[in-house]
Amino acid sequence: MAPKSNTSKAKSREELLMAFISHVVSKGDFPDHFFHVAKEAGVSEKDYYVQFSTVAAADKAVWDLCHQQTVTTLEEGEAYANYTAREKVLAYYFSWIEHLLGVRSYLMVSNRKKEWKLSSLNQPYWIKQQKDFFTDIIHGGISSGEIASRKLLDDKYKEAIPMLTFFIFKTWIKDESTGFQTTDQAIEKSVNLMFDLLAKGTFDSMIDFGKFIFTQKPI
Amino acid sequence: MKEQITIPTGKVSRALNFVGAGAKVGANYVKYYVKKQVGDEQKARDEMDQSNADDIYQTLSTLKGSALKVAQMLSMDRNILPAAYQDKFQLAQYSAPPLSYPLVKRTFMSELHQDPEKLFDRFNTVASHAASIGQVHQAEKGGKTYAVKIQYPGVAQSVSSDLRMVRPIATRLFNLQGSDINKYFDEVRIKLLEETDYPLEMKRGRMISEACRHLDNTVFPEYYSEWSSQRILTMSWMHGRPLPEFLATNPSVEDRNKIGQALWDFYHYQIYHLKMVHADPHPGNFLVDDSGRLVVLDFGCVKEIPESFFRDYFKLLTPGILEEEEEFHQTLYALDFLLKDDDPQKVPFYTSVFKQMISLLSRPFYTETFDFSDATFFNEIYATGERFTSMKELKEANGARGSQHGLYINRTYFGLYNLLHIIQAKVDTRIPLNVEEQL
Repeated sequence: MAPKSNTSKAKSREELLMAFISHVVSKGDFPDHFFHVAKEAGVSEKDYYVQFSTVAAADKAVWDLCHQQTVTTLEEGEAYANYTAREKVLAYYFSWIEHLLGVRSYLMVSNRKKEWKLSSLNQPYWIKQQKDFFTDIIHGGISSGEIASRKLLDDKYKEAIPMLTFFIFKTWIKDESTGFQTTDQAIEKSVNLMFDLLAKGTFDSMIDFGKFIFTQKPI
Repeated sequence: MKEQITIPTGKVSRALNFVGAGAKVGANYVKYYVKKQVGDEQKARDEMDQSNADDIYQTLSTLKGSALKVAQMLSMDRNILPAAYQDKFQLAQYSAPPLSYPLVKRTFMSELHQDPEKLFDRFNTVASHAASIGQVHQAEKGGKTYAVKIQYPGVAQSVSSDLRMVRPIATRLFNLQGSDINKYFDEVRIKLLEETDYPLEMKRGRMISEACRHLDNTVFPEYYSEWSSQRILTMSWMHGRPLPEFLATNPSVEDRNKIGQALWDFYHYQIYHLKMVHADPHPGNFLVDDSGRLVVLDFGCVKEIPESFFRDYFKLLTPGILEEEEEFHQTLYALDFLLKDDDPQKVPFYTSVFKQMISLLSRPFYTETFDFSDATFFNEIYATGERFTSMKELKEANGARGSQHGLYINRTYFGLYNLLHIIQAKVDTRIPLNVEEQL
């Protein structure tokens, strides 16, 4: 993961994080505290605790950084602003796994030690940020008509995001294909499916039909 | 000529191609497709009580032996699957949803490390059309227009697993033993994997178009290595109408014959002189440009013809071979149409069947010109196939007959005959003199 921010404070935070990542990768496990990490980085433990109160917080910061960098990459791209909602979501995930690739070894250790579960995905801050990011895209899609507005359901759409993220991450971490082609397929197909469901269509007809059967009782 | 002798397997290969080459359609789709088509066809409906796929498979699996396979394949082409079959089949192959632009961009980034918009002055974000295992985008740079083909992700990895999936069906369809079918499957797998190898396609495309450039009325695209990689292939954009569109304009007899002759010459020059052939003659791979010339696209499927196979196969085209008992016999053995462990009492019967098929199917080669618009020729092929289908002796024949090299050569000839028939062309079909010397 390339350092990117220009404020000196954020930069040092990123450097600390990089030292933490390389410690975890070389040990193949998470430490209980920052003692050895700080020693290897040549800084005091305090520097670490100021930035990350616990090891778990540092772990979340890695994810957070990946998300932030993805958003930055997208917003710097010229074509992005003109994308449809579907393309924006696709572009996010393609770019996201590109950034994850920079810390793949770390994530493999993390995945092995913690065994990601879908239920644990509702907690972290970065997931909330990801949801917020997608909420804007979804609202854009609703106003352009690409996504059907289903009133009360509209605010629930973003709840599909952690599932998508989970599915894509799990596919990617296990992916053995050259150039992660399987992950590319997984992203393309799952996002397309999500948008096909979100668009006005089968789903609405089904609800409409259900309402008809329920209210009119034709048989 | 015995291409139709193994057309059943040629057809299997088409079915395999269809399922295998990343179309992501399960074997069930093939069943469904057959079923749907049968539903359209009155005669087929009469023959098989219901248009149920299982029934069709049952019917087909009662047929045995390769001449029967031929017959049944031919009848499939002529009857169960109507004329539009070829077109529709190709369309079905393209039914994978188009790649999103972000994925196209990602493919560019990972293969060429550059944004398509940065590499070209203009890059069309919407695909112009689908190719068999990818899609084509139009791009411009310095006033020139390019066709950029991008392969769907994961196609190469899925070839083997898709073949595994279709294998039981193919085995059942042609009543082959597991070991018999291996040689055909290996051949198909190699070809499908080659199709995913764009650098190889570029190499062969360049080679064949270089060697065929002197042919009249035939043009080829240029290839650009600097904008190509394992899964991206950049060519010059070729202007012209797809064949069906060309035919819809009611072209004159001269124009049709010109295209037909160009096709015939292009194929035979490759077969006789290059010993390798563009093995995918379907309408989508050709355009007709404004001056009525043939534009050849897509060298993804090229069959290299081994010398010994070439000699044996084309020996059957020489007029008079059918009268040379001994030589004809040996050739049938060499090409695996007759097997070493065949019951000696049945050999004369098999021989006569193959003789009839070969004399019928190589008829275009026996005359100086041949009119492919002649429906009676195609009907005769069909009637012969029909007759063989009902022969008990053939139903009892066993074993996989026909060399695996014949698979794609048969498919090529079958496709070529079909194309010429669609074009309604009359062509000069003489074998070049120096080739007769080779045989």
